[in-house]
Amino acid sequence: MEISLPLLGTLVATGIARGMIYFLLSCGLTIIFGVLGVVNFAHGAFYMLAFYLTFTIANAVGFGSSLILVPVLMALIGAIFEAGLFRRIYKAGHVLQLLLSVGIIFIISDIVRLVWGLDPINGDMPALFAGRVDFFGIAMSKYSLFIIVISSLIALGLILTIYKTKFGSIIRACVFDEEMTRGLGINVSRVFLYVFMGGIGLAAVAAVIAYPTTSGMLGMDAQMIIIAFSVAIIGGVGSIGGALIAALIIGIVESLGILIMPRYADSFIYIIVVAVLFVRPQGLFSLE
Amino acid sequence: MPAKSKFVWIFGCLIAFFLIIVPFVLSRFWVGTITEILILTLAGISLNFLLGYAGCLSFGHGAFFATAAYTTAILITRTGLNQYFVILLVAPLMAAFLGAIIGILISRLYAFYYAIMTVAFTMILWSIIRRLRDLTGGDSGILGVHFAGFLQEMNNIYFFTLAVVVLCAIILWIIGNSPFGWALRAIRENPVRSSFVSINVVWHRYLALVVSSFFCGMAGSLHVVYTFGAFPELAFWTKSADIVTICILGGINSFLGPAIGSAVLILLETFITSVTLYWPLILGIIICAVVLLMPQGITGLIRNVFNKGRGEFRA
Repeated sequence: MEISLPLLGTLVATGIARGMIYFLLSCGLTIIFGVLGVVNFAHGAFYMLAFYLTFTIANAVGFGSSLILVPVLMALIGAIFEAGLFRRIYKAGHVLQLLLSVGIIFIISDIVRLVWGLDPINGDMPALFAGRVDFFGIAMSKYSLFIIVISSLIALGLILTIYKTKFGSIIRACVFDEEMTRGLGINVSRVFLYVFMGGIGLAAVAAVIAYPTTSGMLGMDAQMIIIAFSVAIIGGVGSIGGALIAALIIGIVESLGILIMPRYADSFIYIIVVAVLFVRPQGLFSLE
Repeated sequence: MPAKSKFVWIFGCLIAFFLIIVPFVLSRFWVGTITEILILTLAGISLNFLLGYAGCLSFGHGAFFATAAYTTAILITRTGLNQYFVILLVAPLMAAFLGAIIGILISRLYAFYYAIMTVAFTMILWSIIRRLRDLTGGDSGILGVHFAGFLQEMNNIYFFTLAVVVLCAIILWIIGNSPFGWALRAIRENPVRSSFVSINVVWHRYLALVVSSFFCGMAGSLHVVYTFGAFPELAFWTKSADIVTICILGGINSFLGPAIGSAVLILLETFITSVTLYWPLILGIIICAVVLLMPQGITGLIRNVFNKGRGEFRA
């Protein structure tokens, strides 16, 4: 198969679009870890639940409204889990925290099986985004362009929220010294709740955006959590900029891997992860 | 604590007696179930060696389990080698070899990072197993693995498993109470201070992983003896999660905690799957309940009952 430049450009564009989805997903994971100090192993399961919810809501009221409805709904579900379960184990060791999220994975994926059944679901591409556009000589699907634009906006909004607003500085204060922040009269528990809701909301946004491009099935949660962790490892845990670059690397590598060795496309990610771990265990863009 | 040690002795003798008479009094189904409990117990004890002593949470022990299971199955079906003594040594050694490779990469990592990396490795192994169809049989796995000699009948398999599990548990107990084991406990409590008293922290954690993976591999090998097959699900993260769950359920501060955990878990699974299809949902609820209500596990709960009124608290 001949590799031409425009084809390469198209694949890179698709890879960037996928990478942005991975970024939104792992951003939620990273922020929750950075602020709450909990690795939410169930992040992939929340993604899967959001994906199946999108299927139902998009079929009922259309894709456009699900873009708003699903993240809000998922943030509320996240609030229930935070207030009911996670809140109780912030002080417990990491073993119990991980085990709790494993329990949540079992619960969520079995609920998905109970409600939506075993058959895979397929997302429909909204008519508005069908077709391709020519972007400086590179043919890319309209939807890829849409993904890149909307997720860049979300990423920008996120960074502005964290670094330019009062709530953002409270969040950063919680990361820096939780007890001191509490001492200043800030309701840290509530900040944690909002951050957890925001993280799950980001996973839900990623799921809704990914919905038209892939099909959903049981077990997709494991796949997504591995990718989210790979992003965190490559980019350095807790670093949003690192997560962005790592997610783009993974998206592009995955996309190009399909061209070079289709059967082993996802193995490339693992190779990168192992290589990064060997050279720089704290992640490529970590400050430590 | 005389009351406690007397209780433990009587209880232990009853359990030992029960385990010996099982094949003569119970049906084949229950003999199989108890064999399964024993195998998972060995996997749990091997993980607890790493988790309870060294404080390293491996969320990927299924990788070692699966490696040994596949090594066993491939050796028997592909080569003429059918001597269980040789195979039960080679297969765990393969698992230990994998542990040695993974250990190079992760022995420096702590807490979450360690857990995440181990789970990543087991998922890598899972996808490799599914890809290498010619060698591993892909999604359907390897079926019909039969040992030559006496390991054909259920009762013999049971006694063989019992003997191997007890032997391995004794060896792990000895290692755990050797100077090496105490050095691991020191590392768990405080890695920095341990390095000040000239314990090579990374090397000890590395060795602990290798030892643990060897015995987990032994459990994987026994699993092939019992099920006559090797399946890719063994390397899926849920298997590793099962092993962690039984450790926490039983209590990681107790050597035989995983035995209690695996007995409770498998009996519950047997019972609940006969009633409803939604075992994972129940399992998830059980896990959450254990984490929130009895983080010390069942043995911790028992211990607290014994220590009540004595004014002492043992974590």
